[in-house]
Amino acid sequence: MNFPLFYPYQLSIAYMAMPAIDRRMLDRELKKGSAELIILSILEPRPRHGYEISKLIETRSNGQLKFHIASLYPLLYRLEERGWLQGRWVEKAGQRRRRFYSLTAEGRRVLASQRSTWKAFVEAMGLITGVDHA
Amino acid sequence: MPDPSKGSWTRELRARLAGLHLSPAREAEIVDELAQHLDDRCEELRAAGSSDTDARRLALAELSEGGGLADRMQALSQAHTPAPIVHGRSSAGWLRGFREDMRYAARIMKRQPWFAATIVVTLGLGIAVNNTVFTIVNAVVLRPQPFESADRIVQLNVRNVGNAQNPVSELSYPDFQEWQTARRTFEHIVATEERAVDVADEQRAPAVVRAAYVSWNTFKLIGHPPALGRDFTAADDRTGASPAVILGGTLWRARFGADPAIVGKTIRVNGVPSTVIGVMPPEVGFPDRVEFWLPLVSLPEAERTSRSTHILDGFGRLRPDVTIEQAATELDGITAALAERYPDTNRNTASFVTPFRIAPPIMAVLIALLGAVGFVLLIACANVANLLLARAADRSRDVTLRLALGASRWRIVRQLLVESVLLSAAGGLCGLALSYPAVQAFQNLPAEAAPPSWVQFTMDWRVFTYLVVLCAGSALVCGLVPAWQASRPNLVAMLNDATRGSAGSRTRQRWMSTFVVAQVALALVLLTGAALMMQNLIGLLRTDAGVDTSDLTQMSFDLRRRDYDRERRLLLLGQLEERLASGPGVQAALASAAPLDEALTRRLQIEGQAVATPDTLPLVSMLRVGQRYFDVVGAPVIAGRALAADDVRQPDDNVVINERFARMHFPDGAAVGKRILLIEPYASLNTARDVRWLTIVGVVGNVRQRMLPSGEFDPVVYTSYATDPPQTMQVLARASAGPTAAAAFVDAELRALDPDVPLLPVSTVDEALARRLWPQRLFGSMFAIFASIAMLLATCGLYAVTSYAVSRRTREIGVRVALGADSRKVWWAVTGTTLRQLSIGVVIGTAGAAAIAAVLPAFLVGSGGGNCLVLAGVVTLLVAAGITASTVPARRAMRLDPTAALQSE
Repeated sequence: MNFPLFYPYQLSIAYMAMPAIDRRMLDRELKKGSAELIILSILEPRPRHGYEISKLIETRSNGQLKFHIASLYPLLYRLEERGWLQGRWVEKAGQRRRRFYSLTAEGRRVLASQRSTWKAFVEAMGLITGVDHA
Repeated sequence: MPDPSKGSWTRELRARLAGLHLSPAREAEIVDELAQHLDDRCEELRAAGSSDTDARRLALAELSEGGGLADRMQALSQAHTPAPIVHGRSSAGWLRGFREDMRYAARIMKRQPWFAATIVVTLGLGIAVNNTVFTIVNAVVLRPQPFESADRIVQLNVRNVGNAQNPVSELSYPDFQEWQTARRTFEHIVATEERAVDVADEQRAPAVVRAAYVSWNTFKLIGHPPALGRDFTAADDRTGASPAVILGGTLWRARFGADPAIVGKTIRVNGVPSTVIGVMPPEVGFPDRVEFWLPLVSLPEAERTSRSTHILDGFGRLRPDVTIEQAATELDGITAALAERYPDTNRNTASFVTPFRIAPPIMAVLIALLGAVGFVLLIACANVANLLLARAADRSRDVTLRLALGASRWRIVRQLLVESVLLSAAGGLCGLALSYPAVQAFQNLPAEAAPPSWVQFTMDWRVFTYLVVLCAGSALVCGLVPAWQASRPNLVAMLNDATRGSAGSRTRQRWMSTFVVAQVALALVLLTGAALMMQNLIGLLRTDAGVDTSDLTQMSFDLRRRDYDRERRLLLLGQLEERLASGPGVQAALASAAPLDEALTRRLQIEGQAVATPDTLPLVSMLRVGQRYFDVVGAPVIAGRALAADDVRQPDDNVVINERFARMHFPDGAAVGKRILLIEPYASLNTARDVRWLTIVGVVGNVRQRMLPSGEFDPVVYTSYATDPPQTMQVLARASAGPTAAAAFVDAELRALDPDVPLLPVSTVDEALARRLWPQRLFGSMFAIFASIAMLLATCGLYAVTSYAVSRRTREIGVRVALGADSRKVWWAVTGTTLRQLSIGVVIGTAGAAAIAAVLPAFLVGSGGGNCLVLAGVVTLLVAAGITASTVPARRAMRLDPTAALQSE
C-alpha cells in the first residue's frame, strides 16, 4: 500500500539533518509525495487532457511547480491503473482527438482522504515549526 | 510555421518506449497522446519566442527529464505484458506468426525433453543413414570428376562384334597408336596400364609401388599438371627416349621426404635407371589410385608390338559439341581400316565409346542402398508420426480450447507442423553428426576396397541440399497426419472431458495401426533383402574350393618388370620348381592362378564335334601349372595320369582336365586320349594362331577357379607352364609350420635365383577370397546394419503403440477385470491387436520381400537358393520381436488393479 505521506515525513527529517540540501531535490521529493493529491485536485471540477493538467499546475502554483511530460503521463497512467482516474478519447469536429482524464468514484474518495491527511500534516508542521500558513 | 509532424515524434517516442514491451495497441495510444502533448509544448515555446529547432530540442529534453519516460513507466503493469499467443487469425502477419509458432514449439519441446529426444534420435538415425549413402552416391555418381571438362571425357574400348562371351576388350598398343590419329573429334586420346613396379635408389630399401604406364598426354587430358617439375612430353614416350618417371605426391612425401631436389635425380625402376621429371599433387591418382607414372614406351617390348595383347585402358576428351556417336564413327573408320590391314587380329572389331563413369554394377548397388535407407527413414517417420499422434491425443484439450476460441484449423495444423519441422531439423542435425563418422569410415576404406583417388567421400552443397529436403520431407511425412488429426477433435466431447474412447481417438488408433503395419512391412522387405545378401556372402565365403584351402598359402611374383623373355622365364620357373621340391616340411608348386582366383578362359573345341559358330563354343578355365600342383593342392587323379615331369619340361601338348570338364563333355567317361582345341576368347576361330590340338592325358578332382551362378564347379584344363611360361606366377604352398614359414622358404628360394624379383603379398587362399569379396562384404554389412536399424525401430514402434493403447484403455481393462475377465483374456485383448497389425504387415511385406528375392539374384554372384527359408526366418524373427515388444505392455495390463484403474480417470 502506497502511503501518500510517507515521503514528506522522511524528507522533512532529511531536510532538518541536512540544511544545505539541494533545492531541486527538495522540489522533486515534495512533488513525489504530493503529486497524486495535485492531479486529483486538478481533475476534481471536470475532465481535462494531459497538456491542460500540466499548464494548470504551473499556473496555479505561480510557476513554482512544473510537471513535464516525462513525469506527468506515467503518473496519470498509474492513477488510471489504480482506478482513481479514467482516460477517454474525445473527438471534436476539426480537431485531433484528445485523451481526457476524469475522476472515478474511487478517485474522489481518495482525494477527500488525502486532503484531510494533508491538512492535518500541514497543521502539525505549523505547530512544530512555527511556520504560519494562515 | 512548420508544425512538427506527428510522424517525427512517433519515432522518438517509439524508441523510448521500446524496452517496455507494451502491447502494440497500447503503445500506439500512448504515442498518439504524447505526440499531441509535444506538439502543444512546441507551439507554446515558439509563441514565447523560441526557434523551431530550439522548441523541438527543449520539448525533447523534457521527455528525458528525471530518468525519462521509460524509467517512470517501468512500474506500470501495462508494461511487460507478454505478447499473447493468438491462435485465431494472426494480426501480425505470416512471418511473425511463424516466429510465435517456433517459440511455442521450442517451449513444448523443452517441457517434454525425453519425448523430443526420442523423436530427434529416431529421425537422426533415419536421416544419418540416408545422408551417408547419399554422400557416397554423390561422390561416385553426381559430383563431376575433378578433371578438366570432365563431361567430355570418355572411355575407349574395343567392341568384339559377334562375340557374346567377350563383347568388350581393352586396346592393344599398336591399335591405340592408330586411334590417336582421330583428331577430328578428340582433343586427346590417352591410354593407361596399371601395374606394380619396383622402385629402388641408393638410400632406401626397394619397394613395390602401384604404378601406371601412361601415354605422354594423360595429365593433359585430365588437366592436372605436376605440382613440381614437368609433365611428360611426346619425346619421353618415343622409342629410345631416356626413361622418365613422375612421382605421386604421397609417395614423394613418404619415400623421399618431400625433397624438391628429387626432380632431376635418377632412381631405379624395375632395375632400369630412370630420371624423376616431376611430382604430382597427392590427390591425383589417375586412372585409379596410382602413385607412380611411367611413359607407355617403358612397357616390355613384346606387349608394345603385339596386336593381340589387349591391355590398355583408353580414355579420350571429346572436342566441344562433339557427340559420343560422332567420336565412335571416326574411330570406327580407323578400326575398319585396321581390320582390313590386319584381319588376323582386328577382324570384327569396332570402337566402344562410353562416358567416363563408375561401373554399372556399383551403380545398381548404390541405387539399392538408397532404396534401403529410404525404407529406414520411412520406418523412422512412421515411428515419429505415431509418437506425435499419441501426444496429439494428450494435447487434444489444449487444441480444442484454441479451436473453441476461434483459431482456424489451418492455424492449428500450422502450429503442429512447425513443431514437427523443428523436431526434424534437430533430427537432421543429429543425423549429420551421426553420418559424419560413417562417411569418414568410407574415406578410410582399406586399399582393396577404396575407390579411385578422384572419388572423395565428402559432403558438399548437394549433400546439404539433400539433407534439407530430407528434413522437410520427414517433417511433412511424420507431421501431417498427426497435425490433421489433432486439428479435428470433437469439440463438445472434448470439453465435456469425454476424452477416452471418443470418435477422434478411434481414427487416431486406426492411423497408428496403419503406421505400425507399414513399419512391419517395410522392415520385412529390408530384412529379407539384407538376409539374402548376407546368406549369399556367407555362401561365397564358404565356397567349396574342392580342396582344403584353409592352410594353402598363395604368393606371387611378376617377371614383367625385368623384361624376362620366354627362355629366361622358362629357365627361372624350372629352377624354382626344382628348388621348391627340396623344402623340408614345405610343399610348394607353381600355377598361373590360385584356387578360387579367376584363371584365363579359353573357348573349347573338341575333336570330332561339330562347331556351329565360334560364339557357341563353351568357355573353360585354363591353368598353367607345374608338375607338383595337383599334389600340393590336393586334387586326386581320377583317370589317366597327372602331368609328368616330361610334360612340364618338354611340353608335348598333353593336358589334364578336371572331373567337371570330363562329366560335361565326355559323359561316357572316355576323356583320356581325346583331343581338344583351346582358343583365345577374342581371337576369331579361323585366324587364331598357334592353335594346336592338345591331348587329354588325365582327369583330376575338381578345384574351383570361378564361381558359377549354378554353384557347380567350373570346367578347368591344366596345361604345363612350359607351353607358354606366364609372366606372373603364383606359388602355392603348404607348410607344417604355417603360412609364414612357407612364405619365408619360397621367398628365400626365389631370391637365390634372382634377388630383384620380389615376392608379392602373401596370404592364404581363404584370406585372398575374403579380400576379393570386399564389395559383397562392404555392401552386405551396410544392408545388414540398415536392416537392423529398421527392425529396431519397427520393434520400438510396436512397443510404443501397444503401450500407448494400454494406457488409453486402462479404464476399459479395469472394467473388464472388475467384471471378472481373467488375465489370459486381458493378455489377448492387448496382444491380439498387435498380432493383427503384425500379420497384416507381414502379408504386405512378404509381397515386397518376394519381389526383392526375385530381383536380387541378378545382382548377386554365386549361389542363391533357400529364399523361402530366409523369408520364413525373417518373418519369425519379426513376429517374435513384435510379440516381445507387446508383452511388456500386456503384462502391465494383466497386473492392473481394477480399483486403481477405475480411479485413474
